Amino acid sequence: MEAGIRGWGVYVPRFRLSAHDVATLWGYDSRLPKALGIVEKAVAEEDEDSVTMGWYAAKVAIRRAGVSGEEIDAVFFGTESKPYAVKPSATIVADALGVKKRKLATDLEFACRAAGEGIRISIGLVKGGLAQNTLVIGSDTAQANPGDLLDFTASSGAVAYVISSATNSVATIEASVTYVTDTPDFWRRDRSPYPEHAEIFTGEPAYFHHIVSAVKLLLEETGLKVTDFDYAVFHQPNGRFPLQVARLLGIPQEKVIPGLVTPYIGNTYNASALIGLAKVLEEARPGNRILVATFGSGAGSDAFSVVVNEAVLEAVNKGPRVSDMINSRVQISYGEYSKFRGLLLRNVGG
Amino acid sequence: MKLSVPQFWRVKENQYKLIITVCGECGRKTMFKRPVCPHCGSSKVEYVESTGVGVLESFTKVYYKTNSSEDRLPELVGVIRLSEGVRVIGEIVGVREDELREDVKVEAVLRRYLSDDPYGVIYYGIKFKPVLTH
Amino acid sequence: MRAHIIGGSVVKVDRHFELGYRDLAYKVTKDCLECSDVDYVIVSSVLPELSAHQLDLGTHIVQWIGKKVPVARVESGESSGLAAVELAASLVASGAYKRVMVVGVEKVTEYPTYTANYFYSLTLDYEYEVLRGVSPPVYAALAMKELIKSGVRRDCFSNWAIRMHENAVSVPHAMLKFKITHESFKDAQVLSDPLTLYDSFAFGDGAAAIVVSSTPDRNGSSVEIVLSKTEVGLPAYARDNISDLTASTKLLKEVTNRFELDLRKVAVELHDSYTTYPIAILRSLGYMDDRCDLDEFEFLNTSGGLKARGHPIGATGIYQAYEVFKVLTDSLGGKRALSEYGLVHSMSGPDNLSRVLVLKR
Repeated sequence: MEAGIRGWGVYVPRFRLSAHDVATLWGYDSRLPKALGIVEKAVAEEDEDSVTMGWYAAKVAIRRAGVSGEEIDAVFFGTESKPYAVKPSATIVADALGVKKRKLATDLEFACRAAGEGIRISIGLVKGGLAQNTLVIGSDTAQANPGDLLDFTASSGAVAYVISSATNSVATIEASVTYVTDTPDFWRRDRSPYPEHAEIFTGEPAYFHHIVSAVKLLLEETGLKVTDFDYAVFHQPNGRFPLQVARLLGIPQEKVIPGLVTPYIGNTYNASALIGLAKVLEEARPGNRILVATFGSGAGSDAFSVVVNEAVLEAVNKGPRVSDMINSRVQISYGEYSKFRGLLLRNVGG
Repeated sequence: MKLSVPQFWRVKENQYKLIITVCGECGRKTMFKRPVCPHCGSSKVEYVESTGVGVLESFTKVYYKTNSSEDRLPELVGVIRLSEGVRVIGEIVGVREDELREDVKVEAVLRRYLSDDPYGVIYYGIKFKPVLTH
Repeated sequence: MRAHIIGGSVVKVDRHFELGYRDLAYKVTKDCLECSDVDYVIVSSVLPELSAHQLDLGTHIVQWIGKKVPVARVESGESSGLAAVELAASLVASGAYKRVMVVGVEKVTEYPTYTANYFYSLTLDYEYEVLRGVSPPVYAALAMKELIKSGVRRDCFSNWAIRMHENAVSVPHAMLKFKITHESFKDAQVLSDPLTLYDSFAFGDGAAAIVVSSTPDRNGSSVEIVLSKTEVGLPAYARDNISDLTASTKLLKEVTNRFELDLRKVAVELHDSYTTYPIAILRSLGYMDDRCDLDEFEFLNTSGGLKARGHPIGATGIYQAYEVFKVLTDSLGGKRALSEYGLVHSMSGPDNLSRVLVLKR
């Protein structure tokens, strides 16, 4: 039996901060945003966090999947911006969505690829018969040290997938593989408000090495060639890396661009590549094959081969589309961004 | 620790979801899961969960500052007629005040109500946002 | 009912930074001759737990002011004052006590305004209204919008505020003793659109005391409490219209019919926390057309109302009762009513609960 995607949902906040404004405020050359491939990033409001955004994406995914909360056997919440350092986010979302009490539920952390691992765990559970349906959420309100390069891209957004057997699915996950090593390219120490990164070191030995390795493993295991894929979606820390990794793998840009969302919404971390996949599902035709590769610093990559089924066409209309969420936008100032994300030093708790 | 844990835990079903009390006596519907119909006093009641979709009937832009509201001001609070026919009052989010119009379709979203910063619990509950159209 | 208001006293509604709950209670009872000889005390206050960290305020007050008589404290939101009067009247009418002193006292200035706003908001349902971003001005604003949609002009509400400020000018204990005009509303700060600061009551500390006796005053300067009645309304979110103040309307209709009272002629104090509410009530009672003319009302909120006299929450009902008592038996702000009857109306929240007190000379 193969596993598949039964439903998907996405949430992208409407408020956007222009990369141009970040460059102006922090004294970067105005050509930098273009070099990073970033126009603007999505910003969550004051009352939003990974849980609230993940809830929305999950609600839509469940609706598209046509299942009830009673039919979900596991909830995996991939995030690196947990509202509580200790206390699961998965339980809040599960309760609010009416998922039954007899279930697995946990938060996963692996920088930007925890949700990817959640999908791989789900495939195992479904194939092993321990679960009929699982809910995998990737949601982040990514933090960036104000003025750091990450400030251009670190954004907010969420994605959710219901994973079940391929028979019920809108897309079949025909193969998947994970490649993981100890590579400290990006981290956030306990009690530290913002992550640190090794700048150029996050490229070659981290992002490129892991994605290329995972994709090569996938091709080896399946016997597929890159030309067998109609679309390719990669983790998107900026607008440039996905196109560069595609070039390394010999994949033309046209196959990457449909799933490239970071230039317009920023890097949503755990949701990044998986929002790209959702967008492709909404535009692809039955029979299309999609290559998906996540990346999480630290470091690892999951590569998936996903084949679109007929049922996708009906499911698309059961929820808001990624392209509509991208297009429904309101520009905000750096001041509002700071207020929304709580970046200002205020007396609180009085 | 200013926010109570048991108080919110106890009522979270009414905060995370939109539960409607339907009276088996007078037939009227009232917001929230409650033991007695406030219209006729009957305890012959049933509960229905709303789909969370409704129409914004009226709204006000709030500048009134209270202890817990300062970082949300100005705040939009509206009267929503849910598709089940019952009215509910809630905060409208994800929209600029100058974009918001009466009669727009709205849907329920989960948001933070209060956060006992920096160490206490977070209260989550339902608010509303305009439905995305394409 | 064999219960009479035979005297009382009030403190100016103000920011009494130098006086606490007990000091205010002492100040108001010391100046009240009839307060010296009472056999029971009821204290009405809403905020002491929140604003002064004090439970059992009643006991601490009688100990402080040196009265060795039984005491109980009443809290019923904004209508606490009239709840206390209602209980005092039944204590003396039942024969259990002869002279009950009712002291309303409130401190609203112990914290910044936003904290006072928060405390005040808690008269609403904390779990299902306050947590959801609903505060008292939100309901007043939404109700005002409904009334405007149904044809009431915006300046109708302003008229109310202007009249209240006019009334308050000559009332010694009023907080806002200055006139305002329609012009003032143009630059008024918005609390909750379309409701402005000028549509809202003023927050002030205050204390008021009255003495309820089983027998009338020998000199004839007392009023009989002929009726005290309470009605519970629906939560505002459960109504067809937020501006349907059915509890208040029902009570006022009932007493005006029963005692054949014309609100244009009798001394009446209406609960006007926000200008929306008295306009809504007078409209549903049929007293007001779209012109919203208030000139015909001779003794309408002679005190200036909550709007201009001020609203020391738990003390307000006692102020209102004292004021109608004064207008009927002596004078208030230089005015004396010729009517035989007087009315006091109080409500908590947007008509969550309403009370009416009927006084007779």
